Order: sequence, then structure tokens, then C-alpha cells
Amino acid sequence: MALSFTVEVSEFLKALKGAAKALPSRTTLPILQNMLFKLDGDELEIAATNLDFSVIEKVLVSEPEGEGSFTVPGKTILNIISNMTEPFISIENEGFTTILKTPKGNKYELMGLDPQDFPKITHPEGGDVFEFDTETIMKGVNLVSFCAAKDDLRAFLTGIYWHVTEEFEMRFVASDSHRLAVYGKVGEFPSGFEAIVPPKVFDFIKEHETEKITVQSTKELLEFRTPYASLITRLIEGPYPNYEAVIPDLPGNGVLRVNRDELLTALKRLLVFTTSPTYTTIWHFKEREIIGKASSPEAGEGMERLLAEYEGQEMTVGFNAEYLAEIVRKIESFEVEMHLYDPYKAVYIKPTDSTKDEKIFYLLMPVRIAESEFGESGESSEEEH
Amino acid sequence: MEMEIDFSKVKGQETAKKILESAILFERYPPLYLFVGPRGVGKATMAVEFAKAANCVSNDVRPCGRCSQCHKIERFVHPDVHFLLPDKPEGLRQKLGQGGGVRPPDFDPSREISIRQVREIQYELSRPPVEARHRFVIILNGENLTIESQNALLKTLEEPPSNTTFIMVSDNPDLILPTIRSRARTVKFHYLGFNDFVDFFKSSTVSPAVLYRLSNGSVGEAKELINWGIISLRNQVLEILIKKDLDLLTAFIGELYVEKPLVSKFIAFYGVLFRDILLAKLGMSNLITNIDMKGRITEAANALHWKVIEDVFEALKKAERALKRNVNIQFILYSVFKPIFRYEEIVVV
Repeated sequence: MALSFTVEVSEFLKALKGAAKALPSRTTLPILQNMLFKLDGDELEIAATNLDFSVIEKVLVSEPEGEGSFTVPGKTILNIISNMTEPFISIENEGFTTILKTPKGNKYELMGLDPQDFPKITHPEGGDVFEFDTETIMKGVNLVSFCAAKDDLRAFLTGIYWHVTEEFEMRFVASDSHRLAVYGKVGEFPSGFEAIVPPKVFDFIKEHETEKITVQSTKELLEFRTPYASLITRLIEGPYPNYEAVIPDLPGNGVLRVNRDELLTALKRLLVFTTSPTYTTIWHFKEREIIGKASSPEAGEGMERLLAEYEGQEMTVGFNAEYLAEIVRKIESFEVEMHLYDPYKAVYIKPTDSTKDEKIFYLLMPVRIAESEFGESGESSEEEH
Repeated sequence: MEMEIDFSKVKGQETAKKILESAILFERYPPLYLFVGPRGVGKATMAVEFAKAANCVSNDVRPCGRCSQCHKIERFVHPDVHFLLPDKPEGLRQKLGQGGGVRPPDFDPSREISIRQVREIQYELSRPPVEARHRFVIILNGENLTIESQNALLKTLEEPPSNTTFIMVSDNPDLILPTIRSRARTVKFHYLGFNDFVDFFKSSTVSPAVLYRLSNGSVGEAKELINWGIISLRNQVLEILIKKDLDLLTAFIGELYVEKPLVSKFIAFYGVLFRDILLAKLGMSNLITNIDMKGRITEAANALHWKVIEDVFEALKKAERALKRNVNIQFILYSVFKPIFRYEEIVVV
């Protein structure tokens, strides 16, 4: 069964690039390095999958002849088309062989595999269909995704828990059990929507710059759809832990307000004196100022003194400076608000400008420190004043 | 219409077939099957056939071998039928599926299924199946799982993911943790009867009757014996025994491909040969295993002193132990031949 068509290179390249996002970096199934091309009328579907998620891109072709599917090595065709200077290319397929021809007469022959072997891409049929603002989704994902576990046996921690509460608040939650991020926005969202989504798949929304995106989901699958492309991901098996149980009541035993930029730069300087993987810094909180310290056998010692508003119980707490800096970096308000409970309980961190309808907050577990670690030097500095 | 289950690719094993057929007809799968029994009687082939039958879309005979599910599983490209074995997955497709049946590699305690491999599977299980109705993880050589891997796996088996069945294939089930064995539905496989066995070797140049005796009715073992060149090997060894030629022995050991699992097989075969020689010496040559070599074996029996045969059996015992302790392989091979030369004078007298 022979197939042939002609396609505009710029459009074709866009589709190929989109599908290539689903090509696996390494795989035990050779067929996954191929893209599945399906010609139906004047529409060409290009699909690629790494089994975790699949991308299907559609592109219009001219002079189509025949109907059916064939596979083409994904990276190879992408490399050829990205370096193409001519505006059109015609493609012919016969069996496993695909031939690309340019108007000037350049010719490339590619060997595919049996399209029968290509994994069946299942759509979340029968699932609920929603339409969401891409801006809200991207904001939520951007604010929380860094808190998701990179690699954890508890698979649900590697995902973003995306759900809509009974109060119509859409929430994005991520945690690696050391830290937790929650972004919530109240709006006309469908209550009951719930999914644990691998963070990587949200890149699809970023790349397809649309205002609205159609989302269809079942318990197992979730699909993002734009008019000319779609991504289907397998969802991570839940249930997601009841994160609300760990959110403490405000205010804490100590409440701090500190300039965001000053805190961030102080953290960056202290990071020089910390060691992987805990990046321990020790912070002393007291009225009108906080003092941060770090030391490492290689780099030496560092001390930071920041003027700040602090009300409540005086406290010494250890933090992973890397984690704290990552959180502060995401906070956009002029000041950062922190609620402390005791040196062994998670601190609550939020910007000062959150509203009732839109909020973001983080919980960060302190690093356990020995009682003596914030020793004499801390007290002596107190005497100096 | 009544659906039919067709496991004819595996010969014999009627009890195992019955258990597995009913699982498919009722679509009720336990989280873990343990397929135990001797090597080369169809355990791994059955695991693959079972996965096919459970996912086949045909309405009358399952597995049909024609639908896309059967097709993908058979060619080891199904995204939901995973294989764990002590080998790189890339080499898997070439290794498996040669000559009809599925042939797991020989058990070799030095090679293991690492905890990393188990973790990769666990990652996969945290997601729903891609296209299968029922997902399978087939662990060939279950005994090659390290203790750590087994414990990691135990965690998954305690809370088995839905729609997933593990099949652990093993000919040394004693090496599998009791905590895992106790969670498994054990399916026993047995040596084949002669009638089922013969089917595989109709066109073989070696007499099936001899193969059957040499392999105890293990098709896998018998195929290996053929590949190994068992006939010429037997001739060579008997030649050495009859002529008591040290140079011949040195050349033979030099030529014999020295790989540990192969040597342990050679030791076993050598034992069988000496059992035959002993029987011939006792005048019971109608009972010998290598019936087609009766003449040569009687010749060897006449050439060897009683004491030699006794010492060879003693040496064989020691050799088996030495193999487990990584003693030099050539040395082991010499040690089982040594008694022949020691008593040369006695025999001459």
C-alpha cells in the first residue's frame, strides 16, 4: 500500500518538534524511537510516545494519496526537516521505507518499523471534559512544581496534585515530604476534578501558546487538547496524602516579616558556606533582627544579620538554605511572611500580598540541629548591642 | 459461544494448564504466580502464553496468535508485558524466543536481578497499563533476584497494583524468600512424558530415546545437549577412557569451552556415563542410559578397574563441591579424569 503527500516545511517542523517532546531519551522498546504517521484525507497525524505520555500533532497536507499508517525514526526526520531550506517537501511511503523528496531533487530514504508494533494510544474516553485558562494553570504549576519529589518510591510525590475543592478553588499541590507548596485560586471551576499529574506534561501547554485548553480526564488518563495537537498522559496512581492535615493554624508562635530581596541575597551568600546535601544554615529569630549562620570545613564560616519585624517567641531553627532560597525566589511580594511554631515543626511561608481568591504558601521542614550549634558567638553578638 | 483456551504450545503439563485456564475463563488473576519445576519443560513459554491468553481479543480461541496483543507479546514489544532477567534488556529480544519456546538463561548465582531493575518496574506500576487489559511482569530466573530486590518486590506484592500479575519462573524456588513464596499461587511443572517429548525431536539426528534418558524429559536440556554436540563429546570421552591417553585428555580439556555452567553440565553428564560403565561392568548393560553406545561402553568397562570407577565417583562428588567454590575449572576437569591414570599399573597386572 503506497502513500504520498506534500507538506509545508515550516508547519511540518512545528508538528515534528511538538511530537518529539514525547520521544523517550532511552528505551528498551525500539519502536518508541519512531513516530507514527497516519494519513487520513488531507490530514496527517504525527504521534510519538514514551509510554508515560504521548503527543499527537496534526498537520494539513496537500496532494494526499492513499490512507494508512507507517513509522519513521523520530530524531532522524526531525534532524533533516530542521535543516531544510526549501519550503515544501513531498513524502512517499511504501512498506517500512519512507522517501522524502525536495523540489530541488534532494532525496532521503528512511527505514521505519512495523506500525503494528506501535503502542496503542488510548484517549480518556468517557471522562469529563473541561476548559481551563492556561494562564492559571501555568502560574500554579510554575509556583509549586519545584517542590515535587524528583525520584521517590512513593510515586504520588513525584506528581502535582491538581484538584478543585468543594469551594470551587482550583489547587496545585506538590511536596517531596520535606517541603510542600500549595497554590489556590477561586473561580468557576468544576468541583470534584482531581488528578496527580507528572510535572513534565505541563510543558505542552507552555509550548502551545493558547489562552484556553481543553482537558479531559478519567481516573487513569488525562488529555490536553488544542485544535491541532493533543497530549495524553498516564496519571499517577493515588490517593494523594491528606496534605491539609499538616497545614498549621495562623499565626505561629513567632511571626516574621522580612524584605524578600535581602533575605534571598543573604541566603545566596550563606550557601557558599554550606555543604550538600543538607545545606544547613542556622537561624536565630529575635525581635527586630534575624541572624543566619553557616559553616563548612572547606569554605569557612559566614554570618548574616538582617533587620526584620519579628513578633513572638525567640527561637533558633535550622534550614536547608537551598530549599529556603528556592521558595523565596518564587515569592514576588516586597516582603516575605514566615510563621514559626517550634524548631522541629514546619514553618509556613507566604508572600504578604495574597488575597482571599488567590493564594500561595509553602511549608518547609527545619533541619535538626544540635542545641549547642548556635552557641556562644550568637549570644556574644547580643551582648555587643 | 464457549471460549476455548489453547495452550498447545506447551506440551504436557495438564495440571498447570487446568489451573491457568480457569484463571483466564473467570478473569481472576492472583497478584503473583510462582511457576516451579525442572528446567526446560515449558515454564517460561507458559508464562508468555498465559499473558497472551489474558490479553487476546479473539472471541473463540485464546491466545489466537493473530491479534495485535498476541503479536506484540510474542515479539516482546508489548508495553505492558515486562520481563525481568539478569541481563540487559537490549539483549533480551535476541536471547529469548529462539527456536519456538522461551528460554531463560541458565541459573548462575553470580548474575543477579538488581534492585534498580525492580525499582524501574515499580515506577511503571505506579501508572495504569498502556493498552493491556491485564498487565504482566514475568520474572525469569526468580532465584536470581538479590535479597534486596526480593524485599523491594515484597513491598509491591503486599499492596499489589490493580490489573497486574507477577509471574515468577524458577527451577530453584528454595532460593526465593519464604515471605514471597507464601504470597504466591504456586503452579507446578513436571518433566515431560516420553510421548510429549518425542514431538520436539522428530527431525533430530540424535535418537529421541537417548535424549530423553540423558535429559530426564526436559526439552530445554535436550536441545542444549544437541547444540553442545553431545554425540561427538561422548565419543571423545570414551576414547580417552579406553585408550587412557593423557595427550588426548589434555587436548580435549583445552578444546572444551570452559564456561562454568557448561562445566557443571559436563560433570553431570560424566557421572551418567560412569553409571553406565559401572552397570556394564556388572553385566547389566540393558539398563544403561546411553543405549546407542552399548559397545563402546562395554569396551570402556573392560578397560577400567573397579577401583578406578569407585574413585571417579568419589572425584565427582568433590568436583561438584569445588565448582561451587570457584575452583579453577580446568583443574576440576582434570580431577575427574585423574583416577584413570593412577591405577594403570594395576589394570595391566
